[in-house]
Amino acid sequence: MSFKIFLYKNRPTVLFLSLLILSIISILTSKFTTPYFSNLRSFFIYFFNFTYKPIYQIVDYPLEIINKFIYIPYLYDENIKLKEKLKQKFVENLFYKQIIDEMYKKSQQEMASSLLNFYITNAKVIIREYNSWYNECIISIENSQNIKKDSPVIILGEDKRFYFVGRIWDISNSLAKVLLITNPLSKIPVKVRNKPIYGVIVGNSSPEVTMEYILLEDDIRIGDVIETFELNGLIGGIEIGRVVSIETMFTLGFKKAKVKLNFNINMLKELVVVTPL
Amino acid sequence: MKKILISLITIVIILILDLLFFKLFPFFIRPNLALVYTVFLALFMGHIDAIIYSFLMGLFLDFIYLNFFGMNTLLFLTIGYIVGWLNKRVNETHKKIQIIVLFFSSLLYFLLYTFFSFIFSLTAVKTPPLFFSNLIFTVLFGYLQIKVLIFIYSKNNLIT
Repeated sequence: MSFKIFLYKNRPTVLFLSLLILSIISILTSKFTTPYFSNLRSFFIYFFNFTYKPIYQIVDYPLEIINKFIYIPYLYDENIKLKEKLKQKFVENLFYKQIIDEMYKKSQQEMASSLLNFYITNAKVIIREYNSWYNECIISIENSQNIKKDSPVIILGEDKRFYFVGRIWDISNSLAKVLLITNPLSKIPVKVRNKPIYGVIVGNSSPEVTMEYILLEDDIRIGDVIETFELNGLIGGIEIGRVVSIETMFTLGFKKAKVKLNFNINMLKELVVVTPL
Repeated sequence: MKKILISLITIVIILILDLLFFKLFPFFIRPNLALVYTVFLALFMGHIDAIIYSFLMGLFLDFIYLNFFGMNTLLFLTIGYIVGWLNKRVNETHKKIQIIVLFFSSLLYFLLYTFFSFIFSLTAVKTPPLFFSNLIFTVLFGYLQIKVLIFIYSKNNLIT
């Protein structure tokens, strides 16, 4: 029996199998829908579905379908106009979102100030040159009235905690120069959290800084948290980093510890300047 | 040409009536008009016509109802194929034959629906007590529907 004769004799089964494959493909497209398929479905639902209507309105069904087809050109025009309006609204929304974010920041800032007895000012890093990347940066301050020289500058880290970044070196109108903690000229008095161990952080122009002048008898360990120490007008308790290595210098009579900063010093964008009230 | 036109018009009318019944009656007292038409096509029009028109019926139902797409197509196609084997093998004008075929087609519809729901992990499975109530109404109303369809098709010389 040739293939053609076989097909002719089993027409119903062949037809059934081919349509079965089509229906299985249509079932699979429910899971993996394409835009064309879902558009076709939307077309049918829009023009022919009235299951959402109350029963007494179903008598208008044929007229409604005809009306829907007649209104297709108007729908097209309206669609284009609505798309334009949507674009406008989207841009406006971004603008208003920005204003709302700024107002929220201000209110947070005022709340934090009243709680902590410090005046908090938001600042943005505007200039940071590559040849002095770890030494300094220029920030713009919203309100430089209460800012003084040596005011600490902190950053809100990804883990929602504040970290010490540096100190105000110079102020001019709404701009200020920040001496970063990684600057070799920066010497910050610090202590180990929950331990009476004191030292001075000195920058190395790298993301790791050195804590020097640790006494030989102090029990400093790897993993200890280093924070600022309240001295010379500096606010105490602001976290800096963790100890990663310790070196004992018997000849000098001190220990040295390498401290890794807990924040990414390469990503300085929004900073906070803190001054006592 | 006449056969195609009348069949398509019948499908549209059945879809409209099905939607109307969907609004008026809950599932357990709503006859399955599309299934009755499939059985009619299988008994009176031939195996191939039953397969083609039941496939189209299922497809339109899938487009209109916001269900799992392809389910109705698969169900009606399968029932059209299986019941189509009875064409020219039974006396389709005998009322007992019509009622028995309607009954077993409804049962087959329920079994296939449960089976495919299980395979595709659907949650809208019809429970047996509700289904048997639906089956009774399908058979009762379906018998009347077949009479109407015989009248329409014989008036247009599509069946003897």
